[in-house]
Amino acid sequence: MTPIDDVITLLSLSLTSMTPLLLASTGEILTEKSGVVNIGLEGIMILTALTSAIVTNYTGNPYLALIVSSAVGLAIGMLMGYLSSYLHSNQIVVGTGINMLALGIATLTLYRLWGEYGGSPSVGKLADLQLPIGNAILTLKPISVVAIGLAIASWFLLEKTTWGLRIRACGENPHSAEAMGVNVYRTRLLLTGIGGAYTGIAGSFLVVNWVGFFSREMTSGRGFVALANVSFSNWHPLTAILGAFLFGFFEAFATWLSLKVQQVILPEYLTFLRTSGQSLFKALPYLATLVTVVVIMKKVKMPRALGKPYIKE
Amino acid sequence: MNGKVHVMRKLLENITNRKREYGLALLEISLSILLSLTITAGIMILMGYPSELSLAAYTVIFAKGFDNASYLFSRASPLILTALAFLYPALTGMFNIGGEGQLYVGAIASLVTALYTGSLLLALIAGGLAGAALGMVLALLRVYRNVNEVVAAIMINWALFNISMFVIATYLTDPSIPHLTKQVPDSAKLPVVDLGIIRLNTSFLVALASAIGGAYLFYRTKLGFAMRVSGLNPIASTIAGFENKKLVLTSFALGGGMAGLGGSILVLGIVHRLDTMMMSLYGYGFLGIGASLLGRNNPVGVVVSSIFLSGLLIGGQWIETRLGLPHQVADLIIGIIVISLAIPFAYHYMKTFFRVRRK
Repeated sequence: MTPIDDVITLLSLSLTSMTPLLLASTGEILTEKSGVVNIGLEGIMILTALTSAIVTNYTGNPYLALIVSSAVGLAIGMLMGYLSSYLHSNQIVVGTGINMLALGIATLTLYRLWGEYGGSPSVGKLADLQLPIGNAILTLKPISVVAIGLAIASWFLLEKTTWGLRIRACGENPHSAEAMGVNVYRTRLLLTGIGGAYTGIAGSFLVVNWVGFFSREMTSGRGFVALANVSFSNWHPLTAILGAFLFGFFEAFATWLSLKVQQVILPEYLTFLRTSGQSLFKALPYLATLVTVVVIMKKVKMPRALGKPYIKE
Repeated sequence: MNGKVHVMRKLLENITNRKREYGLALLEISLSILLSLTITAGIMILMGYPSELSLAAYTVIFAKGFDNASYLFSRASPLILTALAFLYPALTGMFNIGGEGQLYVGAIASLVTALYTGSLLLALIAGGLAGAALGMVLALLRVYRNVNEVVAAIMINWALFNISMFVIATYLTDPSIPHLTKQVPDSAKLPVVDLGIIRLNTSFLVALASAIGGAYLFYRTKLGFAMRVSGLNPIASTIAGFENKKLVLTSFALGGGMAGLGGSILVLGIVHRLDTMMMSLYGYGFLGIGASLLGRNNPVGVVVSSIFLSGLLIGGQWIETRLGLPHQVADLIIGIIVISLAIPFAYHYMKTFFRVRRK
């Protein structure tokens, strides 16, 4: 193993880890720009990852799984959007509820279909792209490319089109938006749905392009890291690419480090890192994410009407 | 004379109004529980479970979940405290999702103190203080760095889950039973009192006292009043001369302290030792959010809702042994209850809907 190999391995891992974060945070930026905060991303990711495992297991077609999962994400997003716009629900509470019920549904389904609580059988995956760089090979997941493309497209939609202006108006000042002739409820419903669909692709990615099976713990807080990334990136889809890469890198670095300590010679007082110390590596990405958010946070500007139910007069 | 009658009438009106308010709240809660049971049954049928199975499951949940009062109350005690951990900051307008992590540090701090000093009181104080300190971290980040408290809390929960696992596995395990920690010494255990009808775990008294103390603080003192005003309308609160930042810090310290105390009584009164997979700790903090919402963000309501949810969970374990269904059915029911409770306008919406229909 030369240092170059290590760098390439880390880069591949980072790009993989960043993909679900980027998809979910881009979706959430669209949602939040319209004024709804959806903290149920984690739950949507669990349910859509499960959907992908089921679809691929029974049809053997990972592409179909991607489509069905984004449709499921869209449906849950629309439910959230309906509750929070038309019914004026407390958005944080609904999101928490979605996260709670997702695990229940996942376990019930796993048990029903495969008689197990833990996870699904292995399913077919999409092929990786292999890019040779010098002697090393950079592994790139096709959906990573899609995620970056979607982020750029979402930036264009938000910042360069009339539609984007209308969406942003709903998040900044829904009363003015309504006066301008924008249907605030419908816009919020739609954008929360689209955010859900993006998150659905993220959940599907975990199964059909990365791990190859579903387990209940597989999302491990990615939905929440994506939320952190939204505020880190200042509600800007292009900055979100950078943020997602950074958080993806923390995750990849922790994984890489936990493998590395098994290979190198450690002094006596550090040998605990091979056994119980492995938990510390798992804590690392969350701490790094938190520290980064704390350092950067001061200058952000969030949509002014974010999280506030809009009530028509 | 006339004035007295007037005052009396006002008072009566006030009481009936409040009664109606409580009645409405009760109606909404019952509706959401019923709705949740119906939807859960629907989901189970949709998944292909036989339709009579969900009915059987509910029978087992409600029959077995609530028949052993001693177990029910001891199981509910930590949940009451994590629910209060969400409730007190919520009354001040803040979301404390960090109850889970605060419970972990409280439990570990209590265990360590109990192991080294053998004192019950010191162990309880240590747990409460550890939780309060962690709660303060969230508040400081929110107040001085403008970090969203929900996002920060979730990161801290995940990080602490892994760090606690590390601490337990590395420093606290019993050499003879490697997957468990050393046991809390008898002198530091919260006792169980035999009252004839039930064997009351004193943990429940700690939880109950915390709820009553909180109710007193928030509804009978100046500080509590200021916190509620700041929660309802921060601008009005500033104009009234209250210092919002200090109030937010206080409420988070209070909330964190509750969750830390929840960890304490879990260790000192119920499980007496922790395991390296943290099975005995995991989930209380998250569930506390649901319990607080179900209790309509009211300290007394929280005690009732925590007991109710604990009953559902115990019943969930029974359907696993009796019917072979996963106990997570209970999680599903609770999740849907929480979602339907989030719709404050549901009742009014239905009312206008039916009025329109009638025309």
